[in-house]
Amino acid sequence: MAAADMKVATFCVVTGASKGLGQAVAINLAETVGDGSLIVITARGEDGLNETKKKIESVAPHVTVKIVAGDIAGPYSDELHKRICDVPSPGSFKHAMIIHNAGSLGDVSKLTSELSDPKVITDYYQLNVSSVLCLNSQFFSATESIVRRTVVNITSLCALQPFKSWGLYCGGKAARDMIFKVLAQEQPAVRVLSYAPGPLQTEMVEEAAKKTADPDIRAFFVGLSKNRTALDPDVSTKKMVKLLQDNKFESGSHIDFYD
Amino acid sequence: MALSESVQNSSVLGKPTLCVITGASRGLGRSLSVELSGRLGEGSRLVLTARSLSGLEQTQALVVNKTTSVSVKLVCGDLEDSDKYQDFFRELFSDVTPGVFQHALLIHNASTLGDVSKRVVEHCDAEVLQKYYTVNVTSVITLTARFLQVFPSSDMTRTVVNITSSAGFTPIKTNSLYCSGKAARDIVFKVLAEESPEVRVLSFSPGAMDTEMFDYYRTHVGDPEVRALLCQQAEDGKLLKPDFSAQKLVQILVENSYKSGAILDVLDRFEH
Repeated sequence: MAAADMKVATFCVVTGASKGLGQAVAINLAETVGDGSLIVITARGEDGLNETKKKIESVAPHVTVKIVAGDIAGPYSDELHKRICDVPSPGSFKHAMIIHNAGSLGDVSKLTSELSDPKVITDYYQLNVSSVLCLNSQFFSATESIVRRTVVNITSLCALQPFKSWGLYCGGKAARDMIFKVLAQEQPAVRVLSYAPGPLQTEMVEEAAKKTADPDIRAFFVGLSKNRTALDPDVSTKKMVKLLQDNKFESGSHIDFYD
Repeated sequence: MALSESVQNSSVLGKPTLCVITGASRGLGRSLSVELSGRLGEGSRLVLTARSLSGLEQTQALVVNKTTSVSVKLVCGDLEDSDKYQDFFRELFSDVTPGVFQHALLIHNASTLGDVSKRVVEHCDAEVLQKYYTVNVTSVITLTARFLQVFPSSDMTRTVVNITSSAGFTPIKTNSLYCSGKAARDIVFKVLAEESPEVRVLSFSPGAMDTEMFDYYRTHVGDPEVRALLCQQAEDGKLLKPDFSAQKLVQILVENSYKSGAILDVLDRFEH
């Protein structure tokens, strides 16, 4: 497969872009894409989104940044998804991308045998799986006329391996990986990548270190923090961008930072 | 393959067992109910649940015809209705005198295909998706949690079975809901197995069977290639009888040598 020319006018959506990996992805993609690009950054945290926008503008002034704050899994998500995926003059874009990054850890203080509240599980799948399908659907209808499309699913080793007290996270990631494998089969013209960024120095990892019920798993995350061996999200993102640029990956595959 | 009575009695199924089977009104659930009724020890209880009372009653009639040493309790309920889970689950495990049962077995068989006419990019109704994952993932997790609470580990064996599919690791066009639901269940059961080593956890793939679910699948699946494959399977007589798959699962349970958390196939085509 030929390398992907990403230095073209791109319509790009990044979810969970207010901090952590999402912020790093939005900034790095902004630096990568061409003149006339529009990056839509969305998350619940408007302050974080403003910060992301400022950072993008300082390194990639040729790109327009649009902020859409809101809950992609909330009760008004339909309307939010339409606003996120609103493509002004689609004819002006050569490439459309969406990075499904927003997600949550879930309640890692409980073992699977303690997950007795259905609302907790349903809410979890709503944010991490269902809303991704809905937003993805909206993205596809909105970008129908843009010939080249790329979809990235931010995944995890947890999609492939069980982690004690992380049943919600593992299940959600496994479901997503599978959805994107099916997408890749159904849409052969679309480049679909499930990218596992590795354990990152972010709030999510801090939360894992504090709340994980299982002592072995918790010790691993505490160690990451203490020894500063968690990855810089910017480093992991650059690897993701390289994968997209090299364009050699099999559509639908799961690739880890450490592969 | 018939086991000698002594082997059968010494097996984990030969003890007085409380066995809950979801989706027991037809198909594999019915076959499992009947097959297990002939293998569970004297004094065991089969708790059969599904949405259809008439289907459950027909299953019960088949069980009663086969054996009188197992009592049957029917509980009608809809796994889509998570607001009613507390009452529903309480009903499943009611009238359980402590110490009576030496083995508790929960078989998560109930499952839905979801809208198999839709490609991934066509799934846009959050409510429909929420219902799908509620039935196929949430209900399974919460019912397992309740089951393990009702039967604490100290004095009995507990077994939880996840009826899954190769769809859990093989992507199939227009089957993103079914495939992803199974993928989620499979890994959740692996997590459960690691967290709770004293619980016997098994994921079992019964293969493509001659059931109403397969028939619906074959006639409604959106992708033409998939539909052709399914029709061919049916025409070539390659569909398994649910009784056959049920017998294989029961054999695995009796032998009780599987690695907890493993995903096994009815024809031993894979083991994950």
